[in-house]
Formats: sequence, structure tokens, C-alpha cells
Amino acid sequence: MLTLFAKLLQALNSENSTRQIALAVALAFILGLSPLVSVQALTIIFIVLFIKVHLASFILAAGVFSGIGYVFNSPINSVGDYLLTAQGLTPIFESLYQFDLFKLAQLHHTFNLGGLMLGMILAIPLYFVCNTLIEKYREHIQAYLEKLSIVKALKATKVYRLYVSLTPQGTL
Amino acid sequence: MGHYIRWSGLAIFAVLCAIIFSIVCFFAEPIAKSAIEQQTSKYTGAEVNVGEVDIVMSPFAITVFNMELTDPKKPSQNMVSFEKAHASVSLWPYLFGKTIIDSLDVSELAFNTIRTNEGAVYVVPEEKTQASDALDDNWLSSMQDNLPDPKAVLADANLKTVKRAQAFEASYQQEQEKIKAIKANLPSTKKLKEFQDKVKALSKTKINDLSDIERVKKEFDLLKKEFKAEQAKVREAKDTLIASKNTLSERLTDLKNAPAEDWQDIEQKYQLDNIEGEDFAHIVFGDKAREYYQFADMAFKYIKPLLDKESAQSSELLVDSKGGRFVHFEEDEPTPNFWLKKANISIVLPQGRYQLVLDDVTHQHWLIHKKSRLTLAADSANQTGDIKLDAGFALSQAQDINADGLWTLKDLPLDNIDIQNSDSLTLALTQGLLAGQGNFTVENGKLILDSLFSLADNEFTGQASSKLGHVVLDTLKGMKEMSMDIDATGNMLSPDWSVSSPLNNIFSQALTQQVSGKLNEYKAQLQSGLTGKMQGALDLGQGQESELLDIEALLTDSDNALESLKNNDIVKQKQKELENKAKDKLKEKLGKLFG
Repeated sequence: MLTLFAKLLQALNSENSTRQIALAVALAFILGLSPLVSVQALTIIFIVLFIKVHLASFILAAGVFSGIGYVFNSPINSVGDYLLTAQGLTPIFESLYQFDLFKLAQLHHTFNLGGLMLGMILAIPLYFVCNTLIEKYREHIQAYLEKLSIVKALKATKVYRLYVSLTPQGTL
Repeated sequence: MGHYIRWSGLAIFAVLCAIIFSIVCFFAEPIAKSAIEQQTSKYTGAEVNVGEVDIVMSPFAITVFNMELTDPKKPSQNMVSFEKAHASVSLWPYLFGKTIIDSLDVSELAFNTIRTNEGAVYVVPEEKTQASDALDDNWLSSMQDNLPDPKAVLADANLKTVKRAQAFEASYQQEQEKIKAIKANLPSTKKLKEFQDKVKALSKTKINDLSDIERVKKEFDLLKKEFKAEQAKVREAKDTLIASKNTLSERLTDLKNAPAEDWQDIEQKYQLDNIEGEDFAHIVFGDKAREYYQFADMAFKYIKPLLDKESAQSSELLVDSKGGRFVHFEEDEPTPNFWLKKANISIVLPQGRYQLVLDDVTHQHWLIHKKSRLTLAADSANQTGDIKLDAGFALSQAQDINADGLWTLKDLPLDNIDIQNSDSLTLALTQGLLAGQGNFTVENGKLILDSLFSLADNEFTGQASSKLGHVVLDTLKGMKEMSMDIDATGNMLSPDWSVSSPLNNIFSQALTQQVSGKLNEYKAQLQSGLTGKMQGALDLGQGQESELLDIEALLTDSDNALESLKNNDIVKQKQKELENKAKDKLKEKLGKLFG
């Protein structure tokens, strides 16, 4: 069982370049601001499975950003409401409304549209920020963490030994 | 390319989708069954049972077997139940929140069927406040209780009898004064005798010459003046007397009419004459008519809120659990949120089987440009009775309802129908054959309904605890057939009902006999009291009448006597006497001359 879990971890972490982790976090951000049962969520999941991104980071980040999406429900709805009721955008939405996909994705709902728009717009800077942060982490913080006694204690566990045996670089 | 693409991810995605689809397919039926039971029971407030749900994906169709909806008012019965309902639903519009049912077939739809186990009731229905029992003895006894105390009535100073008696007595006093004055001014018998003696004395006056005649004439003229003066007084007295007689006669007539008028006023004031005005047919059958209407109205009351909810969901106003809302735009080809294109429902009633066909049932008729139609007909396998109903309705965008329809019933067997269930009367129709026809229109929510029903070979049973109830029950038991005109107008959710029938007259006659004895007794009591009130005045009136007659006779005699005295030809007689004397003297002288 533990071997299987470790293999899964290993398989999940084989694509662990900073760009892949940052992309995973960015996509998780978009997913977090979208309803779980929706066309956009399904699309994000497809992209995440199809493109090599760090899945463990994606899963973890999606959970975090879903909570954030819940907390920032009101501003997200306000953005969606503003977009859907803007006079200048009405002709665009009226055209889009004739498409079944638009209605299927329920993008005429204030939360769905607001979440998608905010997610897509903020995902870009988030990608770059994450990329930078991960590089900084690996450069400056990782070594410090490895000196901590709690990390040393974790390294003594069976799970970690198994993980290391499967991980070529032996790093987190 | 391979550096960025995870080809195994495609497989994982496909597997995930397949797993989800399998879960949906596997659990869809139990989930649907549970959802139907829960949602329907939330709506009805009582237990709902579904035997089985069968879902076919392509084309998408759902079949529900053995559904039972507990009647919250009678948990041992089902409000509605059916054996099977098969619905073909357009799946693609359903994903956009539109329920388009291409066809719906329901078999063995029945009402008030007995459940094997008593159903749970989650929301206790409000107790229908029992309408005031119009047939209890309170109606009758309140009429009797409404009869005021005769003593209190008779003590009322505003009674016409009392007022007119007082007016008569006042008039009587006034006229008495006038009569006294008349009597005082009348020439007495002694005076008349004096006049007669004077005239007699004049007639005995010796006449020797013309100067004697002149003297007699002068004296007689003086006497005549006196006679005329006295005659004028008598005639004036006569006029006064006649006026008094008329006044008193009028007052007396008014007085004699007063008790009858007082009784009329009392009748009206205390509604003692309301038996004929009472709408008995409505009291007896009105509730049942309303009940059947409400049964037909149930669809509008129960289903419309659901459709309104769907409309509200499609409107900009409903905020959902995510705190957001849908913003809808104009569709090039809009379709209704709910649209039942065709339904065939087989209904089982105690009277037989009937086929109900529904076409284009929706609440957004302006989108389909068609009215919803409803036709009901007896199944060809029906043993007896025939029923035909053809109706259509449409809701406008302004939510105004317009509908029309007509129906006919022929030899529809009825049995064991409760008509009245009140403290004073329980009435049931044990059997009967109903026939009828009618039509209705609803224009912008205003209903006009006309219907005529006839019931033949009927038998009623029941129990009565009030006199009124007994009358109603006995009357109905004796009638083998009856007809009734039931109309309704007004707001379609709460119209004004009118039930008219020859029954009203029959009930009125029967009841009049019941109450007339008591009323007659009361009437006699009051009239005796009123007569007593005016008796004093009546006695005065009668005494006065004879006195007036005597005075009138006296005046007439005096007038005649004076007239006769006035017209006495004493002067002519004396002239004649003088002429004769002169002739005699001349004859004597001529005789002596011619010796």
C-alpha cells in the first residue's frame, strides 16, 4: 500500500520543473474560482491531464483556491454582474447567448462568468509570481528547511525512505 | 511535443469520464427515485412512494412505476396514484434548465385510493374553518329568538298604533270644543217656539187697510232677518260639524290600520319574512359545487406556483445559493421553460375509465403561439355514463389567464357522495344519475361559468338534528329527480357562486309550515296588545260618531224649521185677506146700489 502511494507520489512529481508547478497553481486558481460541476472545470481538468503540469501541486492548490473562491464570493459576483449588465457588452453577450455552449457553461451566471474572468486574468501574474517564488524557495529556503529538526525527523520515517528510493533527485 | 503533452492523461481523462458516466447510469435510477419522492413530498407535505424508476438514455426517457401521494388530510388514502408514467424528455434543453416533455403517458391514474399502510404526514394541513351551519336550528331559533319581547314591542312609544291613538284623542278633544261651541250657538227649541209664536201672532193680526199690510210686512221682514241670521249660524255649524266628522273619520281609519302597519314594520325589522328569500339550494349544495370546482382548480393552484418558480428562476430576481443570479438575454428562438407537448392520461374513477388528452401544456403560451388544450372523454370500454370536456387555456405574458371550455354529462352514475356534513345535517347522495351541460370562459382572470345539472333516480340518506335539517332531508328523500342551475362569476380563484333550483320554493313552503305556527301565535299576541292600545281611542271614536249624528240631525231640523219660517207667506195671506175684504165691501155697496 505504501509502495503504491509512494509510486503515485513519484509519478505525480516526475514533472517538477518550476514552470510546471507554477502552471499547475495558475490552472488550479482558475478551477478554484469555477463551480466544480461545470464545463470550465471539466476543461481545466482536461488541460491538466493532457499537459504536463505538476498534479500534486494542482490538487493542493485547487483545494486552497476553492476556499478562497468561497470567501470572495461577493466580489466575484459583483464582477460577473457588472460584465453581464454592462451596456456596451450587451450585444456581445446577446450573440454569445445564442450558442448552446455558452448556456451549457452557464456563463450567463454572475458567479461563473466573474470567476472565469477573474481566474483567467489573475492566473497570468500568478503564474509568474509562483515561478519566481519557487525558484527563490529552492535557491534560499530549501537548504534552511533541511537543517530543521522536524524535517530531520520526517526524513527518518518509512514513508520518506520509500519516497527517496523512488525519487531520482531525492528532493521534495 | 512529448515534453509538454502527457498522452496518458488523455486516457486518464477518458477513464474518469467513463467512471462518472457509469456512476450516473448506475445510480441515476435510485437517485431519481429518491429525488422524486423527496421533492414531491416536500410539495404535498405528506409521504410519497415510488415503486421503481426506469431511465433510458437514448432517447432519454424516464418511467415511474406505482407512484402514490398520500393525502395529508386522510393519511390512509392516496390523494393521487398511478400505475405507470412514461415521459420522453428532450435531454439537451434540460441541460439548459428547460423541461421539454415530448410525450407523457400515464396509466391508471386514480384518486382517493386506499393505501396498504398509512402514509406519514409532514405538514399538517390547515383545518378548514367550518362555515357557519346554515341548517342548524339556530337559524330557526334565532329567528324565534330574534322575536322581541311582545311587552317591549308594545311599550315602544314609536309604534304607529300608539301615536295615532294619541293623535286621535287630541283631535277628539279639539273637535269636542268645536262641538260645544256649536251647541252653544244653536237656536234653542224655545227660541224656535218664540219665532213660531211671533209668526202666528202676525198671522192673526187684523188687516183693515194697506197700512196694516205694511206694518205686517215690516214686522215679518224683521223676523226674516233674524231667521236668516240664525240660519247662517246653523249652516256654519253644519259645515264645522262636517269638517270635524271628516277629520275624526280619517283619524279613526288611520288608527284602525295602525296595528297592521306596525306588524309589517316588525316583520321587516326582525326579518320574520325571510323564509321565502332564503337560498336553500345554495345552502345545501353550494359547498359541494365549490368542492368540485376546487378539484378542477387544483391544477392551477398547485402547478402554477411551480411554473412561477421556474419563471422566477429565469428572471433576474432570484438569487441562488452562490449568491449570484442568472442574467438572461433574448433568444432568437426562445422555447418555454416547461412544455408538455402531448400527454395521454388514463383516469380511473368510480364512474368508469376516462381518457384525458393534454396538448401543449405550458405557462409561456406566447412563446409557442398556441393554447393548451384539454379533452376528456369516456373510455370506449365504459359501462355507463358519458362525459365530454373540451377546454383550452393560455397565459399571456402579463400573466393574465384566458380560457374557455364546455362539457356535457350524460347518465353519469353517482353513488355515496357526501353533500353536507354539519352538526345539524349529514346528507349523502346514495345513488343518482347525473346529466348536465355547461360552459365557462375566463377572460383576464374573470370567470363566467354557466351550468345546468339534473339528477334522476336519486336517493338521499342522512341524519338531521334540527327542525330545518329534518325538513331538508324529508324534502330531498321525497324527490326522485331535481334540477339545478349552478353559475359562478368573478375572480376565478374565488368566484361568487349561485345555485338556483326549484328546490328553493319547495323548501320554503315546507319551512313556512314549520314556522308559521309560532309566528302566528306571536302575531296574535302582538295584535291583541296593539288593539288594546287603541281600544280607548276606538271607544271614543264610536261614541263621538253617534253624538255627531245627533247634532247633525238637530242642525238639519233647525235649518229646515228656519227655512220654513223664512218662507212663510203671511204677507201674501194678509194681502189676500185685505183684497177679499175690499171685494166684499164693494159687493155689498154695489148690491145696495142696484138693490
